[in-house]
Amino acid sequence: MSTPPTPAAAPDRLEIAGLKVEVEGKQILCGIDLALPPGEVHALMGPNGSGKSTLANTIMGHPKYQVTGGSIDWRGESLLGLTPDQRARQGIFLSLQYPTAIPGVSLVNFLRAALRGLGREMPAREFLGTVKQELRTLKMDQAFLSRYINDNFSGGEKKRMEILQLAVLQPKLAILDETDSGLDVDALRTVAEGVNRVRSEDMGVLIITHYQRILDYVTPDRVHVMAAGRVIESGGAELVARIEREGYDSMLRAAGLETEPAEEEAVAAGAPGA
Amino acid sequence: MAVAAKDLTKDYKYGFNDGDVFVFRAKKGLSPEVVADISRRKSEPPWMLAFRLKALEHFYRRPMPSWGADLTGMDFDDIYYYVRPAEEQGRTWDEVPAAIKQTFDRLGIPEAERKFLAGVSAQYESEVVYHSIRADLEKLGVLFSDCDTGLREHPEIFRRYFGTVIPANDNKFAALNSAVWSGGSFVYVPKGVRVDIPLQAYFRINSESMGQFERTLIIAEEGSYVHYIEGCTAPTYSRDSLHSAVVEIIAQPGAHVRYTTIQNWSNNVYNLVTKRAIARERAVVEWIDGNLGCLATGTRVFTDQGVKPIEDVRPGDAVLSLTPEFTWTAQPVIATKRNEPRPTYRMTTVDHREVVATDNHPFLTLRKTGRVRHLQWLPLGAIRVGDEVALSGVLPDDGRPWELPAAARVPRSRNPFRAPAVTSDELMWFLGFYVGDGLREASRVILCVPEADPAEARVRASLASLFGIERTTRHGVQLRVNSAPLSRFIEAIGFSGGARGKRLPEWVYALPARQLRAFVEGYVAADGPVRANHENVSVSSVSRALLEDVKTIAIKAGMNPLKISKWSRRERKPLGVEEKLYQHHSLHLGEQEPHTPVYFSEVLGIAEAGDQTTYDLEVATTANFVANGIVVHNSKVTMKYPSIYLMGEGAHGEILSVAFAGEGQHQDAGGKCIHVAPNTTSTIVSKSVSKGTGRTSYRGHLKVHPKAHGVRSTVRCDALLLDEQARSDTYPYMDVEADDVQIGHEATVSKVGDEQIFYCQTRGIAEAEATAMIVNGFIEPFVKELPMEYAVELNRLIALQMEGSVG
Ligand SMILES: Nc1ncnc2c1ncn2[C@@H]1O[C@H](COP(=O)(O)OP(=O)(O)OP(=O)(O)O)[C@@H](O)[C@H]1O
Ligand SMILES: [Mg+2]
Repeated sequence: MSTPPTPAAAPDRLEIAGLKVEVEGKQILCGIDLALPPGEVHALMGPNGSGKSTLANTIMGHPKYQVTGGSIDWRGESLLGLTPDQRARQGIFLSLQYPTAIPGVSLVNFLRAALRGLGREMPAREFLGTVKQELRTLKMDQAFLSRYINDNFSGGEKKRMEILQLAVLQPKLAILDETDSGLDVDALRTVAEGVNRVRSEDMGVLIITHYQRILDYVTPDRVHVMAAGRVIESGGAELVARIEREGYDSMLRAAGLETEPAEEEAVAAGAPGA
Repeated sequence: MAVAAKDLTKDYKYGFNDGDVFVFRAKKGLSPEVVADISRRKSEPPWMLAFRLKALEHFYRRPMPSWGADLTGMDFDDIYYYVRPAEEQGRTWDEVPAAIKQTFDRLGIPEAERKFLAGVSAQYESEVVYHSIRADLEKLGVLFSDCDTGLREHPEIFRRYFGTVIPANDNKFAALNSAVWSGGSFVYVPKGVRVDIPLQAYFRINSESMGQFERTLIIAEEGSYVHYIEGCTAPTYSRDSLHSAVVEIIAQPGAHVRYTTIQNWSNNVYNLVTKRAIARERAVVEWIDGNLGCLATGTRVFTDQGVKPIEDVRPGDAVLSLTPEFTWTAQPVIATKRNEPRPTYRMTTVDHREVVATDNHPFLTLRKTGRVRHLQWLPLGAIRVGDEVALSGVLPDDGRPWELPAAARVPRSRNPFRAPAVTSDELMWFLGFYVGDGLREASRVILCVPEADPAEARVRASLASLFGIERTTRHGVQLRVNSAPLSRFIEAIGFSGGARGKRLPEWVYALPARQLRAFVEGYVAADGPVRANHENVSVSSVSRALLEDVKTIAIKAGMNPLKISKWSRRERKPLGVEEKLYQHHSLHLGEQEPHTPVYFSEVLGIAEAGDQTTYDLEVATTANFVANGIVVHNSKVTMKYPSIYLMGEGAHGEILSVAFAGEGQHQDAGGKCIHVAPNTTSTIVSKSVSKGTGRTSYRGHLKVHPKAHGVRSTVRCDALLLDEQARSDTYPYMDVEADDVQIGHEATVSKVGDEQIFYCQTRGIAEAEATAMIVNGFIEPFVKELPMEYAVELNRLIALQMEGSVG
């Protein structure tokens, strides 16, 4: 069960079809279709509250998000019904928009538990070497080794910590939920370099972002735009520049969506039209 | 998960008993002679003997503490007060006797030494037999020995401080310890010396009924530093043992003393420790305290709502409990505890009540010594055949008639049928008769009662008055009632089983005593003719379980059910070749019924009953309950609130305590800081983790004397709850008589958050492991202070507490 499936037999492909998701009885995603072929980098953009994090958390299996329709397939098999840690063991990684602090648990202990969980324990020396090297690459102080995970970290430090974990855990599919937000210029470049590095190793990446900045470093194979729980537009890298220039207004109008945020929510909630 | 949990329990690595190894053992019990004997054998100076004897007087005079836990289970005369395992105290490993070595090997002490620990002082029984101290510490003038050696070799220092922090008359248990103390640690750190590596001692209780009365005296001279760690374990199946230690700490001006305790007692060890420190000017004292904290399944507990199997009793249920005046009262259950399978024993009394319990479970016992009879709580392991144990006699009649479900009463037939709305004596008599000798088919009920039987008329009268049924037919010994509604009625109220499967439904147990008695009488009328030359009647059945049910309700009704016996016969069916073995059980009912709330019955036998899952209840106030009609005691208690007296200006005290309360457990922790001098500061931090029905309580006591101005104190209670049910209470108590005082009180309650678990899961960590990791993180500030092997032990204990928390 824990032996890694051979890529040839089951390509690391993510296939989402007709996905509908509810949170506490409220419908947030209303039929998402999205495919991420092995090794490709896709960007997911869209206005605040459009459901990007919801999609990310649902792929990972957060218990709060209830799938009411559609499917999420990975390597040709459904992920639905697996716990988040089982999905992690299938090679999926989610860098959270708001990483949680766990007081009293050091980075070292946390990562060792993670590797153990993934069935990839390393000898202590090799492990420490790897983590130290990643800290240097991310220009983070070695003191982070023994600091409690995300506890009293600055916003940017939390994001770098997510990238460090991504590098150590080496998943097959990485979902980065606004990992670029709150990063300074240097850090942004480092993160982007990190993504490019893993990209060359055939890792699929879904970058959720609001900004062109990171995509200047990492050119996405495809860009998807979400609004009101749907993917309203998909295209090549050129879409990013267009959004930067024009904002979302024209796309929203083209999709028949109002641009007033309050009404947008009303649509998402399925309330009768204003 | 289940497999892992099992392995963990099996792995309770300190749960072994080496058999008693001792050279000298004082007489059981307490007297001036025993005390003098202890002192003489230790070749103590006269002042110590005088001190001991005076303490003994205090002990006799002081009342038992009325606060906190119930200690009526303790019998001070059933304890060896002094056991010396070996003639000489070994200094090197080679000199240690082999049996003792084995114990230490299993405790891991030699490894501890290899791990460069400063000194290893292991207490086996009352003497420290193995002790070593690193040469460089000796060079610095640090003294670390057992307390007896301290007295012998450094009499001046010893006498100057001994008993100054906790005088012999401080409390009953301090007095007891002062009279019979033995072993423990003596630590003296000279002026300005810092002991960088923690000094540690392992304590163990090994002999049965053997109290440990170690005495620890720590003196830190001006500007010195020392960290002392005490770790405790007790074999899991030791009998009632008493641990009553005294720990005195003197921190001279500017000194810093840290004292860490890890408790891993079996739940049958009485642990009554007095721990106190005095902090002089600018001195710092820290107490760090980690508290880690039975009857067989199926035992019937008498509650005010009837009778329940022990595994179904929940905190908040009221159970019948015996008062010191021998009357019954209903007391709430505070906590319940489920234990992994352990060796159990079946105790049977002459009156044929029986209970299966672990050997440490206490019973109210009457024991005859010479011509005197002592009433005491004795653990099953200490009870002998011939002792008498308390049985429930006349119980308060708290039952209520049961309202029969409407569905059972709806007639669905043209035959005349009506059913009563509530239970009555008559109905219960009839049902008793039916259970004894009736059977049910879809459209009729058959009762086996010959025409000549004196009960026949009453059966027919019952049918008429209860159900309006006048018509019956007779087939030999069978009285047939052709009534489908009656058959359905009997089934609907829970009397459906065939001969072998018959059991009494739950509601019967909550009936008034009169109705229960009517039921038993009905059964007897059906089944138990008084045999010639027998003064007792009996009822029989092929189902032993049914008879156990009947026995329980008979006890509840204040009757005198006796033994259940078994007889079998071989029978050949007329047509078949097959020979069949028929088994019958009979329950005998004694004529002599109890007329007092409690009576005593001799113990007939105690036999092994195999490893079984057991349960324990903690009952408020009276601390006992009734199981299978036998009076039994709660499990044991731990009380230890360390305290610090801040006596010199600028002194600082710190108390950190950690408590875990697993499923059904109740952990009590606390600390006390007394600010006597001005500008003193203190921090009291408690960290508690509760899971499931577990509950932790924290009692913090802060006292500031009138002249102690400028006091600053922080009291902080952090509780971590692992699920919705868990509970944590804090009872801060502040008594401030000075002005210009700054006191901060902070209490946080956090739940292991879903987001934290999810975060761990996204990295591949499974839920159970994530929970354990978060709990470990929560108590990290405590674990950080511990040497490696303690941290490992603590983690193992956490894993044990966590087991089954998920999935
Ligand atoms: N528990 C909840 N109950 C009701 N609505 C919720 C709940 N959780 C999320 N939502 C709503 O779901 C919608 C989608 O939220 P989501 O976090 O997925 O947006 P997003 O696209 O990631 O936004 P952002 O760009 O701001 O991160 C929002 O309107 C949000 O308010
Ligand atoms: Mg988001």
